[in-house]
Amino acid sequence: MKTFLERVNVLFSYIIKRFLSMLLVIFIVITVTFFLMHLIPGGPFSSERALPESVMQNITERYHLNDPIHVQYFDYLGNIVKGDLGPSFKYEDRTVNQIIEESFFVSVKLGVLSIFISLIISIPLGIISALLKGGWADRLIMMLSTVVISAPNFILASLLIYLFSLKLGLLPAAMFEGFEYMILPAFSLAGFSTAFILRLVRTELIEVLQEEYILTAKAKGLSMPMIIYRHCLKNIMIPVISYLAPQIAAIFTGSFVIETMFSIPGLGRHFVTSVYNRDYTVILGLTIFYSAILLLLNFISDLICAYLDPRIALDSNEET
Amino acid sequence: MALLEVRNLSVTFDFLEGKVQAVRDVNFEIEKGEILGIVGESGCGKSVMAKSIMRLICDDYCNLAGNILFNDVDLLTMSEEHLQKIRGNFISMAFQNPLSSLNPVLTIGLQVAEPFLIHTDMSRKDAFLKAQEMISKVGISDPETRLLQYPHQISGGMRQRVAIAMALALEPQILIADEVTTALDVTVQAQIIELLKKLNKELSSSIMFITHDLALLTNICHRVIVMYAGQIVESASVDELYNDPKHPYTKSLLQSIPRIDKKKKSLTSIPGSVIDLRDLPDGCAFFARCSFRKDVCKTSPELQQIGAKRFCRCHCL
Ligand SMILES: Nc1ncnc2c1ncn2[C@@H]1O[C@H](COP(=O)(O)OP(=O)(O)OP(=O)(O)O)[C@@H](O)[C@H]1O
Ligand SMILES: [Mg+2]
Repeated sequence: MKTFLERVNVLFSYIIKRFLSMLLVIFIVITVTFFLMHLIPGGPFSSERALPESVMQNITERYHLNDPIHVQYFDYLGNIVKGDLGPSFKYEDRTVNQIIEESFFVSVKLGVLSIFISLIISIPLGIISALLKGGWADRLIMMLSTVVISAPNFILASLLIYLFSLKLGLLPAAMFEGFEYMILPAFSLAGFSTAFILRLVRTELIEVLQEEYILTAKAKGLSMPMIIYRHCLKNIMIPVISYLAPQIAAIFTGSFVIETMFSIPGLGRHFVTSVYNRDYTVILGLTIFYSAILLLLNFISDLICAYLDPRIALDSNEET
Repeated sequence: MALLEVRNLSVTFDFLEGKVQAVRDVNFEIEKGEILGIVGESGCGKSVMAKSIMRLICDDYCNLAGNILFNDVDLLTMSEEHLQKIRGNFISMAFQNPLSSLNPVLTIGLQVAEPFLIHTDMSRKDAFLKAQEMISKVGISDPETRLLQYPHQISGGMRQRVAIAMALALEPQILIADEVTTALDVTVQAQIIELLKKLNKELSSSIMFITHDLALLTNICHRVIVMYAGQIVESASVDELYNDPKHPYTKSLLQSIPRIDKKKKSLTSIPGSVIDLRDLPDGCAFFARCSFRKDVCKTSPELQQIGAKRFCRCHCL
């Protein structure tokens, strides 16, 4: 049995190890994206309307595009270390940092609401479905979830807009000016993960209920709700959390489709427009930002899973 | 009146491919303070019978018939809520495999404290103190540390003790111990048996001790029931059974254990294999493997009373 201090030590060295490996991954992401970007033919300023030679000269000068590529690379790395993702090529007076700052929190607000909605709906429904396995309620829930999973989210969004804005006039269909503006886009975003988590919960619960320790719990005199609460919930949450980490990263960095449909100034559309504009620094900056969030969330989810399931050893030398 | 009376208990699993008659018309009782052994080959329906006493198998494809009278109340017709008050409190069960029967993601402490938490209005703190007391009572050293550990962090013997501590937490009137020693090595086996005997004396709880190892039973039981293919084929006190087995199956079971007092050169194992419960023959279930079989054995034998508390199911008595 490890003492408390030893365990804190294991946790601490695990966190440091993970951070170092995350830095390495980010570095690789930066490098690969940077050089790939320069392989794409055409530059950010080669638009249909050709610019005069002298103007081109000026711009390339200003963004150091004439420097040898390795010099540009090291410049870029140096700036990133300082937390500066550089200027946008398309929007002259804006930096990538500004773009992220302006729109990230819009996407996060929407994302938190939509994740909350999916969890609050999917977990109880998944449990009900598992308990009534094969019954009509289960079949109905499974059928609906199949529909939601296979339909693209703009269909759900259009449906919600049609029903709640156009027909019933209850909720606004566009813009982002308050909580009620978030409801429809959040539900549209939540659709897929709700259906997906519901299925995860159902499958996992059906499996856990077959375990012999559930019989032990029953033999102790526990009621079914208590058995689910105390003996199943932790197990169910492990796959849910592993699934949520990348899902949250994707939702926090915005959805192009939903943001466009509801005219929300989120981060998602920048991913698409920056590629369209060949806005190198924005593409690079957003890619790095997204990978950083993804890595961080994966790390947090691993920590939570290790907390939920004591058999997962954080330290590889730890006895199991 | 006995503490537990099982009357005409039958358990049938209904599958699309056919029926499995895991328990067939079983009758027995357990007196207060008695240790009753149930013995039989793997697959003869011991666990199914034990679980059905607490009504733990109640899938839609499973049929339970008969009566199980506990203090004269039928457990089979009781409401689920009422049954929950009895399970773990008056009748409790320790399962065959201690690793899979303990929840891997909950601490030992919580699992042993759980019976106190649900059946008494003890505070959480008191329940854990009681759990600690139980853990040391079943002979686990350093109980304070164990409370915070998880099942995978302790040894198999300890896990079995934890399972027993859990089952004995509220001093039940009946403990059903389903092959609690099978997965353990001989020394730990002996310790667990001593533990059960001690607890039986101190708390005067009855124990239903299930095993497929007849040799173990002499050490612990007062009375033994021999099961074959879901039926009771013989029931007798331990001494009677050992010194004067009546049923051919019991005889061959006894022959297959090494005994110091009988000069036997080699171990015999029972020829043939365990009968398939899906496809039971019309006559005696042991017919195919019996060395005493006659023509009359093609009809089913009844369980006959052959002594004060002795029964045997055989045509050739
Ligand atoms: N839940 C179930 N569904 C269907 N059949 C079952 C179920 N549980 C047990 N059986 C069948 O019932 C029969 C008796 O099984 P049981 O587990 O009672 O045997 P056992 O005597 O306890 O054997 P062992 O010594 O291996 O524990 C077996 O043929 C088994 O396949
Ligand atoms: Mg068994």
